[in-house]
Amino acid sequence: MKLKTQALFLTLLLINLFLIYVTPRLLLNYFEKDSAMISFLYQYAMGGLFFLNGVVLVVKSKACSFESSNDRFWFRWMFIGFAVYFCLHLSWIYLAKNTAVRI
Amino acid sequence: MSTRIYNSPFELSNESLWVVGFVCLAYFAFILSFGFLFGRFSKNTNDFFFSGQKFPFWVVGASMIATSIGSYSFLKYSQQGYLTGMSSAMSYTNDWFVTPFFLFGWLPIIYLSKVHSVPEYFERRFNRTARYISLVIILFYMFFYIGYNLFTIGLAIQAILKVKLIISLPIVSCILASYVTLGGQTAVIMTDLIQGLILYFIGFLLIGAGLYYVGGLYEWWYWLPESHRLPFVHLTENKSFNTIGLFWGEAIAGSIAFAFLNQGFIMRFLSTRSVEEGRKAAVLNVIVSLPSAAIIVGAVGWIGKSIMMKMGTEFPGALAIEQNTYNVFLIVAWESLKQSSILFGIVVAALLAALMSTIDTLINASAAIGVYDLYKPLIKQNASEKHYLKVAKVLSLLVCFLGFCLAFVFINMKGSLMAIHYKGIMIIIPAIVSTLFVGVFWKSMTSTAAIVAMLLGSSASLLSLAYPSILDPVAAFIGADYEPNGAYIYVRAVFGIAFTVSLCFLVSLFTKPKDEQEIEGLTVWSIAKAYDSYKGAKANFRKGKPQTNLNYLINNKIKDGYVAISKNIAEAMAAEVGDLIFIEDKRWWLAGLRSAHLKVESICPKTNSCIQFNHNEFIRGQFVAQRELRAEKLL
Repeated sequence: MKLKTQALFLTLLLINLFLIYVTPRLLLNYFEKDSAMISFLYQYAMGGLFFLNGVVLVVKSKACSFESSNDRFWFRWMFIGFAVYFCLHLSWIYLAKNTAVRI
Repeated sequence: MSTRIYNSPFELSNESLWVVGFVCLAYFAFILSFGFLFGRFSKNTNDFFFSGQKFPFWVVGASMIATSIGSYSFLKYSQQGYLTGMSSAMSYTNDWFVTPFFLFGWLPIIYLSKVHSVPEYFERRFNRTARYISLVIILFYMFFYIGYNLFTIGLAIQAILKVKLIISLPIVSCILASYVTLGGQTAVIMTDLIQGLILYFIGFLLIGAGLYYVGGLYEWWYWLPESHRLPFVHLTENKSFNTIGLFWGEAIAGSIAFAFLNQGFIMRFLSTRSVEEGRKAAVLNVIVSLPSAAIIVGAVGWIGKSIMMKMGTEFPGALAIEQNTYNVFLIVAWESLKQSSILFGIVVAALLAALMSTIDTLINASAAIGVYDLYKPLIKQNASEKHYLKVAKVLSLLVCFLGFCLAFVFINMKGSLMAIHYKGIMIIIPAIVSTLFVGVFWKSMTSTAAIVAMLLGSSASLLSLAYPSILDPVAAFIGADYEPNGAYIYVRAVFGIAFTVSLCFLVSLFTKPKDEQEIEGLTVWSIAKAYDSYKGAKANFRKGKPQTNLNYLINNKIKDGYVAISKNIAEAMAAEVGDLIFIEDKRWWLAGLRSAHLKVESICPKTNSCIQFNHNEFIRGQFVAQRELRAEKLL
């Protein structure tokens, strides 16, 4: 491996490990113990990190070529799908917390 | 409304048992005839295992719903839905994060490199030793799944129909063996498609009936506790079902294992007509099929909770549900369908559909591994296609028989079904999945690293059973709650992955990787070249439009595998001489069953809507005389 790639890889690895360690602790400290947002934010922070690693990898390796219209289409779709799930889960939580419940 | 109180967890009267049994038998007969119908489309091993790579995305994407719902799913997720609410859908709605790796990495690699199995990929990417180590692990994984699925359906049949495992399992195995052996992948996909439709129908029938029972959609939501309405469980609180565990165990390890390692899943994508169709199928699966599956398998539990909140002990099955929540699906289904034996019989048939559609895929996939990784390279290398097709069918039968025998191994295992399932999977998969993943995305990974990582990674996972305290540091690092004696459900997978990935990098640093030319098209770094080598010439990515209402002309001067097209068709499709095109019967609902992949031999100067190929291709493509065709440029 070239030195530059090695350094980049090592930096990314350390950032990933740092975020994996810190995220759950931060969320549990910042929000109330039973907040519905903790799990939501954890999934999308950690999932987003994994997803972004994938995006960086396919772009850097040119597996996703922006010259190809098909690849451009699927590249957009990756983010649309992410946003769809994000919005779906967020609205779901909103609905669960803000509609009447029989106690 | 019945006021019957259940004395045992769930029981039907003798009369109802007969009706339900009859409906199930009728269902079996229907599926068998469907499987036989598609048997005639398998002429060689490519047809038998990959359906001749002719399916459009919607067939593959829609058939995936039946594959993703296992026999245990209805009972397990309804129970989970009842206990923790709509968060039971988490396992089915957290797969998107793997998408970049699959759409742009693994899918084009397996499709374009023309590998037939994951172990074959290991040999081409690394070496033969790596191939056979991976083969052993993958066969463990596949047979574990087949045996486990057969075992769970045996339990379900025993609970509902009072038929013992020793009687039900041979019957179910024989039916599976019959249609998988005769019809191959085409029968598997087409029966899964129809079984998927049955699952949709049953799922929504039960939801409709359940909502009606509880008093409508508003009443259901109104009575559902807030904790049961949320899409996520707490981050760490519930030991057996928490967000951290589900994220690492299911969203990451489980999704990668399913997409990268499950031979049945991979073969489903290899049966599409192009990489593009495979991508569409993958997106359809994650955006539509998986969430639908989550609703179908979990909704009865969500409705059951609402009914219990509203009616309390007045609900006829209240006591039985309290005693054993595992039967919540059966009790709520039975009551909300007004104790109709025929409708309940159809529900039980859907349970069987879920079982058969998961196992048929695995049987076909295991037979593929048997042919491509054992028989062809080790026993008989240059036999005819007819011979290999015969071997494929014999192996399908053998796999069925072995799965049947393995189902009985689970009888003596201790612990809940879910615990057995997770324990097995979390031990078997992490080492091989991580090795494969790093091998695909890092071109400097060496063959020695792959071998060491698979062997030591698997050993470390096994060691964690004997010394569970080695899981504690990993659990502490990711923020999972401490569990005495290493009783973690998901952390073992994280440990296995972390250990194996570290080995992959460490060993690779001190050993020599293969030449880049040798692994061209086998890593994410050389996919552009994979397109060229798949086509055998420079790939043509110019965008064109598929052409329909085409007439054909049989011209025996044209070589096998080639087609001649007129100038106007070539221009509309943006096709050139040497390009790969897909020709199929114009009728969309045939889903490419009558089709052929051909290369453009020449472009005629005439401007008409006619294409020409020879008689052999007409027979091979199973085209129908006088029927108009549709053509599409692939590359």
